[in-house]
Amino acid sequence: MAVGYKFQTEWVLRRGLLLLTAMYVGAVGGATYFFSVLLNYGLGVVVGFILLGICKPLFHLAFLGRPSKFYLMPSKPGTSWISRGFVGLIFFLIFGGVVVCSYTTWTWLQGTTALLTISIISLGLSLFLVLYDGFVLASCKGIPFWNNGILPILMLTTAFIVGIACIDSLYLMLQPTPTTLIKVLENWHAFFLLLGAFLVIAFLWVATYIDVTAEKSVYVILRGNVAPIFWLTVFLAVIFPLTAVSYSLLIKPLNTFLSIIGMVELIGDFLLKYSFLRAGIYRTLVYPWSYSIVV
Amino acid sequence: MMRWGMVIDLRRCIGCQTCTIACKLNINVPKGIFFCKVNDYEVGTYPNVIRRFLPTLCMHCKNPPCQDVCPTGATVRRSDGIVVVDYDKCVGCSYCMMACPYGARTFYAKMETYYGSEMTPYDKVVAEKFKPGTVVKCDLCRERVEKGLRRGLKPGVDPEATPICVISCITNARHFGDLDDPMSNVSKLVRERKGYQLHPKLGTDPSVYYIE
Repeated sequence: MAVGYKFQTEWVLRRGLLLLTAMYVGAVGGATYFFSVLLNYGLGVVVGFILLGICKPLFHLAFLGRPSKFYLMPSKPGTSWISRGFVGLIFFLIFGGVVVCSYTTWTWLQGTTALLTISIISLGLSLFLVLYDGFVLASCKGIPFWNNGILPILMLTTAFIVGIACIDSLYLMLQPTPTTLIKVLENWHAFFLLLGAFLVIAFLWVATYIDVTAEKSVYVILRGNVAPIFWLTVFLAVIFPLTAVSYSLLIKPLNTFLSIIGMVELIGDFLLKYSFLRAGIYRTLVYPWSYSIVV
Repeated sequence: MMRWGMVIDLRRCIGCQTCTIACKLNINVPKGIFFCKVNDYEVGTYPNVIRRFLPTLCMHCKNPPCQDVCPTGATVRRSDGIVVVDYDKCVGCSYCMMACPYGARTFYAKMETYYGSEMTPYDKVVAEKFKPGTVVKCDLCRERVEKGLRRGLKPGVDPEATPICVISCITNARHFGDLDDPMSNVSKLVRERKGYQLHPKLGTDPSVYYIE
């Protein structure tokens, strides 16, 4: 065995793609649910709930080495973020389920204080479920690149961007004329895009100071084998949508074109998550300054 | 209290990989997985280059990050300091692999036989001991140590109660004993030869020390 940099593959390649997909659909679903409840957009609530409450756990289950033992997972919420996420998911299924029902079958619930309370709790839970993936990664001492406090906030921001993109796509595909809802969303969209771009830069900059392995990960992302995917992501998830949204807000409303932008962003966010997971390198045992040539 | 630990003398290690093979054979480690590894690297620049070796295994940390992150409680640090995995409880989420700063854990995806489809006696033991879909790692030969203790032997002194990588080392580079006992061989080595741990700043406090 030669000492050197070893990439983690468990959480990104082969079966790891299932985990990546779980994180991705969780982020899209969570943020879609969050904004849809806030803006009282029924279709978005249902889609968000299905993605976050059903698709995400199914992908997680498929990823596990022994899915039949999944019931043991909430055993240690005191120290394990995966346990906390599992507990949060159970509560989200209950509270989010009631909210979804209020839009479909239990319409008599609409306008009641009980539904308002349940909605607020489910909003908190959806935010938590979007955030906890970031905390799972940030708590990994073995991968210094992820062991970064900015990661959960970055993941929340990118989730907000794709959540808005998902609502844009859903709304404008079914109803080509934008309403106040879309106009409100576009302002938020532009804000989160700018914040997301700033956080990506901050995250990579901070990573270079964490550890030599994290610095290597940044190199891999910016100039190494993950660079083509990362720069494609920057174009798809930041430059292109930011230009289009700014144009739509400041010069001329783009209307249906926003749904295409939304779909491009959805691809961009998947690639961003992929590049961050792909660039994860296990903490090296021997630091480079103590040796010159990796055998 | 008792805290089993190991001291590895890097000046003595010649990278022969005897410990790697002895561990593989005696612990019946699944195909393609190594609990005990000897990493090699070169120091210096041509023509003044020397080859060095770094034997590694699970560090059996006092504050194991793998135990904290395990969602099912499958990873537990015992009162004697050995960190063990309960393969019945492990769901194979690999969170512990990402949390371990020493790369000591491996995901055991599926049972693979060494020679064709028919199981050898070795493969049968592997199938009994380990469960596919779980994360596996070194347990400091706990069965061997426990058996030895039951027989009144002293781990680290009596070969039959000492981990196989320690007794198989042909250069006597590995030493095993109780780190909490100031008079033990390992405590003396750490004290007298300024033993150090890998990644001490992480606060994991490994039970494997290195001396040079």
